[in-house]
Amino acid sequence: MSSTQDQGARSVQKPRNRNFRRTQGPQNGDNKRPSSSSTAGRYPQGESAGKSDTEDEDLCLICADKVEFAAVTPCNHRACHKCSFRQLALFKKQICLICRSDVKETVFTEEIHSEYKSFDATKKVIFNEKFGIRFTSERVATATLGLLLYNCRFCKDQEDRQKDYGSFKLYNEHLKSGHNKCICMICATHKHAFPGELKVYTQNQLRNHQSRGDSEGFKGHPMCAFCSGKRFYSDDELYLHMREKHEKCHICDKIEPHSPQYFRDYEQLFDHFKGCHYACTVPSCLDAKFVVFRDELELQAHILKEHGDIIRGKPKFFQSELSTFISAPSRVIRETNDYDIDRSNSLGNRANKETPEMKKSRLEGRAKHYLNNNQDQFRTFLSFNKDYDNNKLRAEDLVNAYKTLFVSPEADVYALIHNLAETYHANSPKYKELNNIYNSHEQQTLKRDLQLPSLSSENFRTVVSGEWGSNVGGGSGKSSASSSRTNLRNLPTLKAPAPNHDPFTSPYQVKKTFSNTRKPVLNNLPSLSTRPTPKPTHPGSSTSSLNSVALNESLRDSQPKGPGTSKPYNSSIKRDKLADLNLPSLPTPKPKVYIPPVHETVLPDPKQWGKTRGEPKAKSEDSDLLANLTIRDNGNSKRKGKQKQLLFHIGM
Amino acid sequence: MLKLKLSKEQCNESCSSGMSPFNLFSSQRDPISSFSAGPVGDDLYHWQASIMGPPDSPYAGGVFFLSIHFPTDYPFKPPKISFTTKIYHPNINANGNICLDILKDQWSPALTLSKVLLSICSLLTDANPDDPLVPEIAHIYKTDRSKYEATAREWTKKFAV
Repeated sequence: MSSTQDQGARSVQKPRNRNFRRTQGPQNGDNKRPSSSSTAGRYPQGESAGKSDTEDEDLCLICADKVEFAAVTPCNHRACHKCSFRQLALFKKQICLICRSDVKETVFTEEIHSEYKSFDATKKVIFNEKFGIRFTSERVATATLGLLLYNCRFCKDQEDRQKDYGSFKLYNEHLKSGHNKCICMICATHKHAFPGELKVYTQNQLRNHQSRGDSEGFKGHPMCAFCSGKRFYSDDELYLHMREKHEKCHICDKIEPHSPQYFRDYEQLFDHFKGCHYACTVPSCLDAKFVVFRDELELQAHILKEHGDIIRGKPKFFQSELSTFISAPSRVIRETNDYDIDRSNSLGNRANKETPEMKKSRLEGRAKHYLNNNQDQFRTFLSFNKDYDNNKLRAEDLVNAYKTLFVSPEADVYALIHNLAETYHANSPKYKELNNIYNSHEQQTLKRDLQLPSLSSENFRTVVSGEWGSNVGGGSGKSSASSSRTNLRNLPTLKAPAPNHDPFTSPYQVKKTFSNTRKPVLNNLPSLSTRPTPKPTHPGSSTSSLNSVALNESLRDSQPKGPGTSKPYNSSIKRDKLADLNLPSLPTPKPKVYIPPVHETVLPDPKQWGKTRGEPKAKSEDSDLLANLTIRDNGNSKRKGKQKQLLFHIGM
Repeated sequence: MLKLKLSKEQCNESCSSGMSPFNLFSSQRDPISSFSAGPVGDDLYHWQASIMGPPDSPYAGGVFFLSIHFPTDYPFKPPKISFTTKIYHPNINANGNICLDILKDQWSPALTLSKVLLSICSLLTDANPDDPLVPEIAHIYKTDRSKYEATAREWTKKFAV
């Protein structure tokens, strides 16, 4: 858990965090008890911090009361003698209150800052074997063990006051007979309080205490509705009693888990089954008990499955004999409705369920979290909201204000907007306005998420091709830039393997390729991109220029001039060759879109196989172009070898 | 005893006053900023807490509310804590009940609410499918982690954003 580690790390850096009251682990005297001088040294601003620190040290970790006598365990954890003794004597747990390790012996001492080791066995001690306690002085022993005494503080006589009644029962009887008072016996048996801690009531006060509760957080001892007047210490004890002595309807429990239905005994429960649910009334099922279903369908299914033979025997009695209770009582209908509503609530809009306070605290909790509890910034945040509420800020301004305020990377401004929207009524214009902002943002993110994969793959490709390009570029920096661009565009064709389009590629294609690739890579591309050709009327030239555009659309802007000197030579040669090669179908290439064909060849197109041969070459213009591209790319990638080969072909 | 302890813890958790000696967490970069807690109204025994979904979990971005009831025996008995915001988690059921050892038999009186909430935060990051409260979710958690995360994220978006 990283957060705890953070905390630990910080406490090393900042001694102030030593204050954290519940620091666990073995405590070293040095760490835990700074002397006043060291405290002053650590807190330059003075004694107030040091004082509060010491005060803090003197407080019991458990009850936050001031420690009068300390109880120190072998693991060097300390608590006040009351808490420790409560654990040992009343809860009867021989474990450390703080780290839960087993403790055989605890030292109770007046020296509240001493370590366990400092109490050596040679010191004069009073050892209590029953609880495993070593008292360092008589006073501690009396004070601690005295907690267990049942003394009456109402007796006037000093001697009577000292009398130990021995048990809550006797103590209560004394209070009743001697003082017309009493204690709450439920508290006495369950509260794990020392006798002296229990409140003493008059009869009226006791009734009040038990039925309604007399202190904050205590609402009285709950009563079992079936066992007349029997009260329990808390809901936990009542729950145990209900589970053991009474019956709960498991069907209702499923429908409404928050308000379980209890019945005095199975008879009553079965009446409830008959009235509200669908019980199977076949004798064997009656004996088995709890054979009951939520709806008719389940019961029918059960009957068909378990009692099929009965049905087959006398089908016409089916309704009357087996499903006596099928005529649905009104309550069932209501229940199912409730359930449906509940389900739709739980799955649908949670807004119905949450109170306005919760919505507000959601907003504020989120803001505080994003601001790391920075109070000033949080106040700014609240003032933004107020301004928006007073129409001083428009919604868009609010979003911008949020964006400047919430700078932490995890901050989700739009979630805040969404939460803010929810604090308004669903029909108010502010709600709609804010929610629109949130929704449009959501849609954008959704779109972006959808696009993301393709983007990333393209990036990947760019990186790779960039490397390729720079390799190809070799000597000249200019061309490396250009070739990387080309490669970026052309690279996909590298993947298109030769067999894809080729067993039937015509010799024309090959030749055409030569004409392009024969030239050095550097000059090749720019030359192709020359658009204004000397002989525009020539059919062949138009194609070639088109081709070149297709190849190098992007090149033209990246390398406007290029090696301009080589232009006339290259272009003229190429044009002538192309003009010779490109035979009949010149009008067709016009509508071509240039990038898609590159990808198209990657797709297997079985038709192409037959066509290339049978149809005029014009039809295979696409693949011509592609072949052109592909081979040239190969040339790029494996410059040396290919070029030589090509030159050889030309010679042929 | 309880009241004193609670009011001091309150200083700790809700960071209300900057002057309190117990207020150690305000204005520091601290994990404490990922949750907050305070009494509901005047009742010191009934608190509400909110937890930010841990960023490295499918609950990231959500704000989850919990209701906390302190028994009168606190701190010797654990507080009763349950989620009021729906959450898809193998150790938290549809009623919001949390299956966490320190809220039951492993409770120690030395634990504070902030520690318990921190434990709940870490339960959100690392579920414990071997001791599930909702076996169905635990099964999905174990067999199809991505499906579990997707559902948890969906629920978070639906109920906790």
